[in-house]
Amino acid sequence: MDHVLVNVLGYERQAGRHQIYVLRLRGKQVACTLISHGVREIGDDLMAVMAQQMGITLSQLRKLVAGEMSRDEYYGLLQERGE
Amino acid sequence: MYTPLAAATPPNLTRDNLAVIGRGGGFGGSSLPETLAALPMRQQKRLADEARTYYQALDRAIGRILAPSVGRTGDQFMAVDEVIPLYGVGATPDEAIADYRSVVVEYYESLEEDVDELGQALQGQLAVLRQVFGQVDQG
Repeated sequence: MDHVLVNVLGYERQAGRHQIYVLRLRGKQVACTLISHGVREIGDDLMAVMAQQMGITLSQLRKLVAGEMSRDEYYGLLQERGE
Repeated sequence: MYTPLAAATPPNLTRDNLAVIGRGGGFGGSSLPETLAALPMRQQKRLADEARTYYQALDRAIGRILAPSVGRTGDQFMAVDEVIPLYGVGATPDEAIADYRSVVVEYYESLEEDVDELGQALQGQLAVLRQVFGQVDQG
């Protein structure tokens, strides 16, 4: 998930107890997600919350992870919701 | 339903102390727990009492405004709210709530640091979290 967020989608990873990821577009922070210190594995429940934090649905996040959706398509979805 | 934790173990970190560490203030090369352990017992107790009071107020504010629920996910427990949403995970419900509380604090501080560049959705999240910490500061 870290690889997808940072290398594919362009999120910045912030240092801290938890891994907080920030997405900046056109000088604005438009989305923020995190992997908490307590996480051992990322199952469906957790992915669903992360998808919500990222402004998309669980099925869209699954497509991103599987490489079936591009960064530009994701950015387009964020723009559609006004970010 | 979210239940505030009983303060059985005095927390050894306060937000102010964490902020000092975050700014690189340090404690003469020692860790914060080591530094606290080296203080006179009366001072340790006072700081522990202050931290416990703060945590209890934070738990109350979180319960009122974010109202997280705790459930099982795989072989772990997850505390999650439907407002932001934020989550915490742990081997027990208490550990999940402690992780969640810690996430709330760190996420809030992260948004405050970048307040001038937040998009619309994140501004809304910050407004909610300011309510939480505003209630804590009011006691």
